[in-house]
This record gives sequence, structure tokens and C-alpha cells, in this order.
Amino acid sequence: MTLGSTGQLIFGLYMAVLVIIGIIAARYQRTSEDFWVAGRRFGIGLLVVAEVASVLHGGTVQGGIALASRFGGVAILPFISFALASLLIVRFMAKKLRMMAGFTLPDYMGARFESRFLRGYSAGIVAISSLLYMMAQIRVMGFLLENLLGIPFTASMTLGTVIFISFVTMGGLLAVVWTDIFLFVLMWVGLAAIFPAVYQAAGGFTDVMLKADQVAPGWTSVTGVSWSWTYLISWWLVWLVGYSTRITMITKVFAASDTKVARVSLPITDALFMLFLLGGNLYLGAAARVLVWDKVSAMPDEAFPMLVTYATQLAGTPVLGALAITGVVSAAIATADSLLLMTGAAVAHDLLRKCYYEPRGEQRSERFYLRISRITIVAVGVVSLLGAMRTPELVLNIVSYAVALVGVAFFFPMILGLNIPYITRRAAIASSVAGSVVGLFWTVLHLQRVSWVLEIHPVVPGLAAAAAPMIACFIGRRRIDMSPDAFRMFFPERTSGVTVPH
Amino acid sequence: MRIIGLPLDSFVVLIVIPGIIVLYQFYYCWQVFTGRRD
Repeated sequence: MTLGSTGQLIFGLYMAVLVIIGIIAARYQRTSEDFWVAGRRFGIGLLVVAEVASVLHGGTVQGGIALASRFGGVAILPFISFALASLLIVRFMAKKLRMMAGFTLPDYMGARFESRFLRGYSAGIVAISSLLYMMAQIRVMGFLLENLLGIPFTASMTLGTVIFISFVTMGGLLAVVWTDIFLFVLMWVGLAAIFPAVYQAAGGFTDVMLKADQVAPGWTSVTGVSWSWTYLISWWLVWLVGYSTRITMITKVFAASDTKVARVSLPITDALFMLFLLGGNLYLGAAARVLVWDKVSAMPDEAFPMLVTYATQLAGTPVLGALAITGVVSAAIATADSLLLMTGAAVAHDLLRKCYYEPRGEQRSERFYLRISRITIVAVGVVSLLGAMRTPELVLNIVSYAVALVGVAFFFPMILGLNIPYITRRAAIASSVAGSVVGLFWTVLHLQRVSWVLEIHPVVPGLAAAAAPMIACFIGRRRIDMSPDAFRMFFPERTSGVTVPH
Repeated sequence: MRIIGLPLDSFVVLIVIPGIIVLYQFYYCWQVFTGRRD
């Protein structure tokens, strides 16, 4: 059997399992809380699996190897940012977010700053960003299935999208997490499958690093083969801001069984994530640079498929290659399903329920909201598929723009709003709007390849614009602009013996 | 000087500093888990 036919068989079985999981999970869906946060029943183990599966996206391996082989393995891996971002969530955000028991990030923005506008605006940002991110995941699926299994690009993307729309629509977060367990195992198996052949061809970790440096001087240096320090620092900043406001992670915090579980799961996730990248990006990226770079230098996105083909030929069995591809497609689906759920929640829960029906006093049943959620998810999935068919960007670039957009809109209102009571509604709105507008404008210039803009990632000007209103809050007269209920919800430690404002 | 094939500064940036931060998180979470910290 060839790689194509073996892969199609394994992939077909894998898709069938996902749909079956969705059908079973659908039987447990009664309310919005069941659908969006799986009844808040997750323990540490389940939460770690769900977090790792949603953080490791399709681009992590496919786009990561493309970037690593092109620019240098150490430069493109912002481990410092991941570790610091995780620390910020553990230390300053997770406990209070879980205590407020919301469903989404816009839920927090609406409740903390008591602003329907901010809730709606945040929902819009989450929806746009998730769509971009999802498009990247769908492209990864299409790209790999076409290159390695011979399924046409459009058909591959459509097939993958239909499958994950099906199980998310049926089973909500419960289906996402059950499938994540399955996908989590496949990701690691997929990564492990390709290692022996690559090891045989390129050598162990140390050998590959030395060889990569020989063929591309500076490959293992901190700035890689071509990055400047300015670009590297803005890259670190992108991921620091992006990871500390990562919507797929934050939502999992809402689903934790208590505040301890919400926090303890995060460093475990962080450690597993970095371990995966040491193998999946650094080692394989170096191996791609050493073994197949002459064939893919014009199209770095093909580095991973080419490496799989190379390793499959060397191993003499198509099963390993098929497992590796299924593993990466699993990573794409595991992230895309979380994002689809997030976008659905932003539209159905935040925009329709909290900003439209409830403010008008229209009482609707849980059954109605469940139906709205499902319709929204199908619509969002279809839009992201259509978008994926029309974008030419490198996968990881799309992801970094999407991450940056959420980051600049939410970073300060989250980290400061959760910990400092005198961050006002007006400052939060100004920060969120200024950050996202400037970030988006810079992204457009980036995509137009304006030369003086390319040196700095959109997150840097976006973050500067977002910081200004917050700085004004510190300089100006400090006042607490919160209702007593909101104050008690977010600052319970300050309410004993203190007069609550208003 | 190289460690596991990486120059020393790359090793520090990629492994040592992130490692220390993650270890601190484990320490913090251990205190939370055992009730020594709220």
C-alpha cells in the first residue's frame, strides 16, 4: 500500500470516530452551561488534555517547521513568552475568572466593566480573530491531505470542516474535550512516528543542531539566520500578549471544577507544550533544513510534508507517515473545534443573548438558546471555510495576526482590570478599541508589505495604543467606577471592612 | 561553548529562563493545592 491509500484509510477511520463522539456527547446537552462549559466539571487531567489540545494547533507543527527551517529554531520559539504568559494567567487571572463563572472572554469584559458595548465589541473581536485562526487550521488540513494523501485541496478542507462542525454542533464543549483526548494521543503518536526515520537520516538532537548551523550559519543563534533584535523582541511580545489572552485557554479556565484546578492545570500544560515544540519544531525544523531545504526553500510551508515523504521512503512503510499526518491534522482539528465553539459563544451567547434578547426583556428558553448556538456554529464554520479557500498567507503568520488582535484588545483590561479596582469602564473601552484599531491598521500595512512597517509586528503599536488610556487611569484622579455587586464579585478580598463604592 | 548542540546564549534563552519560570509556577500551584496560599 502507498502513503496515499494507507493515509486515506487511517484518516477515514479517524473521522468516523470523531463523528461518533459528537453523537454520544449530544445526548448530554440540556442547557447553555452544558454546551459552552460542559457543566464546569473538569478536573486537572481533563483540563490539561483540553488545554494542550487547543493550544497545539495545526500550524504548530506544519507552520512551525516552515518558520524554523527558514529563520532558525531558537529564534522562532518564544518559550520565554509562553512561560511568562502562563505565569501571568496563573498568578493574576485564573482564580478570579473562574470565580466569576462566565462562559467567554466577552462575558468577563461585560461583567467587570458593566458595559454592553464592551461585551459586544469584545465578541466582535473574538469572532474575527477566531475566524482568522480557524482559516489557518483549515488550510493546514487541506494542505497536508492534498500533499500527502492526494485528496484535492478544496475537498480536503471541506471534508475536515464538515467533520468538526458536525461534532461541535452536536456535542458542544463536551464533544470537544472527548475528541481532544483522542486527538491529544494522536498528536503525540504522530510526532513519535516520524522520529526514528528522521533520527536515522539526520542523527540525534545535538548532531542535527550542529549540522543545521553548518548548512545555515546562525540557525541555532538567538536571532536565527536573518532576524534583527527589534523583530525578535516584538515577536516575543506578540506571543506574551497572545498567550496570556488566548481565548481557547481562558475558556477552559471557566470549565474547571474549581479555582485550584483552573490554576494547577496551567503550568502542566505549559511544560507539555514546550516539550512538544522542542521535538516538533526545533528538532524537526533543523532536520528539514538539513535534509530537504534545497527542495522547499521557495515554499517553506512544504517543509513538513516533504520531511514526512522523505522519512516514509526511508522507513519503507507508509503507516508511520500516515500517522504523522493524522497527528498534525488532529492538532488542527483540536484547535479549530475550540475556536468554533468560541466564535459560536461570542455570537450566540454574548451578541444575541446578552446584547439583544435579554436587554429587551425577551425571555427565551434554554432550548431556544441551544438551537441558536448550533445554528451559529454551522454559519461560522461555513464562513471560515470560504475564507480559508481565499487566503495565501503562511499559516503561522495568519495565527500571529489573529493572536495579536485578541491580545491588544484584551491584555490591559484583563490583567489590570482583574487586579486593580480603579481601572474604569471608560479606560477599558478606550484601551480595547484603540489597541485593536491600531493593531488592525498595522496588520493591513503588513499585508501590503510596506517596507518600514515590516520590521515591527502589529502587536507593538497596538499595545502602545492600548496602554495609553490605562496610563491615564494611573495618572488621573483614582476613582472606583463599579457597582457594589461587580466590586464584590471581582474584589471580594477588599470588601471586608471597606465601604463598597456607590 | 555549546550545550546539546546549542550556543550557550540560545540554551539560556530557550531552556534555562523558561524552565525557571515554569518551576516557579509549579511551586506556586503546589502552595495553592496544599492550601498554604489562597
